[in-house]
Amino acid sequence: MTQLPLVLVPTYLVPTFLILHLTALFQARYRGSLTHQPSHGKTRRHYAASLGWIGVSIETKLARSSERLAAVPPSA
Amino acid sequence: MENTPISRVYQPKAPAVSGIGVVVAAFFLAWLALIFVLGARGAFIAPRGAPPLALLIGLLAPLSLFLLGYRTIRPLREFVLSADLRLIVGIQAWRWAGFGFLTLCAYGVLPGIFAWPAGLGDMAIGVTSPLVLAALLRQPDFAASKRFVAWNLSGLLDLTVAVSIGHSSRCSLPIFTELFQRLL
Repeated sequence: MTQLPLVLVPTYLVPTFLILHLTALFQARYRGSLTHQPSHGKTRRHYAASLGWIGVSIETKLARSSERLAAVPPSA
Repeated sequence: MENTPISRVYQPKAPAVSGIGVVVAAFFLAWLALIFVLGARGAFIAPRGAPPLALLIGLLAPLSLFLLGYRTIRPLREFVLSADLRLIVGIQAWRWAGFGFLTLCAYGVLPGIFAWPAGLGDMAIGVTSPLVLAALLRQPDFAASKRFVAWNLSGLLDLTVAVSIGHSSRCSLPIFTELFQRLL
């Protein structure tokens, strides 16, 4: 019975405190995932938006060029 | 107005006393009873020269069960993710009792190589626990911050180092036994 207090430390208290720390870390990761978007998702969306913007701007420039060409009177 | 919650983040998603909560409490009580019974029978005493395998199993078994349950049992995972962090952090303040390791070292009962890292590490977590708790109360988003994660990782590191030193040097069991036999 004299060994009981010292047995409790490594076999009960230490695992309990470890589980509490792990619980806090799991919650931190979970809340972090709720508040912050994953970086790869943001990057993909950023790239998609950039490509879309590039596509729209190219299309606009092409349209303006064709309008200019149409407005220019044919040379004699 | 008195019943206004402190923050929306800490509103539990599950009822305070749920079925899985009762199961978790029963597990911890059963584990404590098992340790009492096995400890009283001397099951954790390893012969001299042999590694303390029983102590190692006693340490790793609940951890493995917790991690396995978290991965496989959905209600347990939801319970873990909705547990009150204020309570979890507040309990860590008990680790101020690591001061006892330094006291035992001062009396020559514990070797300094174990007592200083284990004692100071535990005391550091115990002392900073109220500060972390205050930060959680002031700013609930602190739970998702890097400082909160670092504090928890420090606590894990301290426990891991203390247990590793204690098991490798095999200093804890015989010396504590001698101490308690002297006291009783």
